[in-house]
Amino acid sequence: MKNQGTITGLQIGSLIFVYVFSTTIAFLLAPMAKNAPFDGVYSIGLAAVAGTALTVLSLRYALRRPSAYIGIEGAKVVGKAGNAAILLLSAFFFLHLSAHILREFTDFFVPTYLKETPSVAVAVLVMSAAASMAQSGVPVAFRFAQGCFFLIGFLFFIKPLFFIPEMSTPMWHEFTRIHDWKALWSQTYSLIPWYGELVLLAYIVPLFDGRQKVRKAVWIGSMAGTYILVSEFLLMIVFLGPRLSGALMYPALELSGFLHLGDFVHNMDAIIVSIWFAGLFIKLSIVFAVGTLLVSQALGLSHYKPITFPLAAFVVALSVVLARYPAELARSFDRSWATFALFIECLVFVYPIVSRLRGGQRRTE
Amino acid sequence: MIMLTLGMGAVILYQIFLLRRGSACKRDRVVAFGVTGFAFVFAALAHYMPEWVNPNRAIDFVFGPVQSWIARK
Repeated sequence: MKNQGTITGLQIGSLIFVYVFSTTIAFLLAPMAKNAPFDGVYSIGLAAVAGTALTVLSLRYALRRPSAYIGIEGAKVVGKAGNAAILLLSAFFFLHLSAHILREFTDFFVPTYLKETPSVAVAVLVMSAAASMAQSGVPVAFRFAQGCFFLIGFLFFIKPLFFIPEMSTPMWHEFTRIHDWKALWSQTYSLIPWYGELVLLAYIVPLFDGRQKVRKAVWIGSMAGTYILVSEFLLMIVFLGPRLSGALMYPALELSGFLHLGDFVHNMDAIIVSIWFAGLFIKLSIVFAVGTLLVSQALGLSHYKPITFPLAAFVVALSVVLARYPAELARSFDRSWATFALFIECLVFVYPIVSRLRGGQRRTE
Repeated sequence: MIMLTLGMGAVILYQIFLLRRGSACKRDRVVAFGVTGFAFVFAALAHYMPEWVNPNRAIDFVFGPVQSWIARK
């Protein structure tokens, strides 16, 4: 069957570019500054390469059958029960991730900008929009990413230019050596699954235009997003210092408070947050859409649309119960999420491994 | 709880509309309503007994020891 997909290489690269740094820039840089202030740059680089390699490897098998969903064809390889188990676990992971992103957003946005509004109301509004995007189809999220990519990329690309006068400091010498190998390893290990989340692309290969160089687009998008992350991290450490960066909840937002456009705009953080939210929304929508798709494939439904809004309600409820307060969420996340995520992200490799073992068995018979 | 019931009511109505428009078979309808029912029960439990339905405890229990061994700080 011929591939009928419409997602182009530029759309894949744009989505990955936005996906890689949208949540990391807001929620991961502070813990990284606290645990590995000068080695964090190397952690980000190593994790980017390892996580992207994991994603590209997962795509290798899926791209061999570009017209078939791995979640549906997988039943022929690992059996119905095995396939359903893999799909349900992966779906739970992506829905849990959606709930986590939603919770982190409400924990940041509500106390900062909407003090009198109940968090659950904001969660319902945001999730309704994400569910509507998922309802319109996965390619719509890619098209939206393509539209937002230039504005988001341009903004975060030029942001460091506003701080050039403050960049002359002897602190740059500290970035040229490794201070703590243990911290470097633990931060790299924690960050790899953030890039590894892109294995969701393996589950939606039939939606890609068959003529596109998907793996090349993945590498380019990922490395471009990593550049933004590294430049923001360097800016944060050099301008705010390692101790203050680690102590602040949202150091990237504090940095934005120092930006102004002459006398016209005194504080650009509202503009930056509005544009950044578009990136977070893209990530939330695509993760939720893939989670919903996997649930529908696991349950044998002919289409995922009828279960989109019920699952959105589930994600909102899940985001509320994940933790009582932000510190508990961060603690739980820090303690076990990376290993859980890596385990689930590696489940997609069960298909090619079992396929190869069965192929070898048939040859010996 | 009232808001939850009203919200899920709206979701079910839209779901019925989608299933009719897509001419879904009986099995698909049963499964779709089953998912909605699960979401409603989960949300109700999240309201009354949030500690019971937090999956992070199970994730911490299974993967926490493995992670502390792999990424020793």
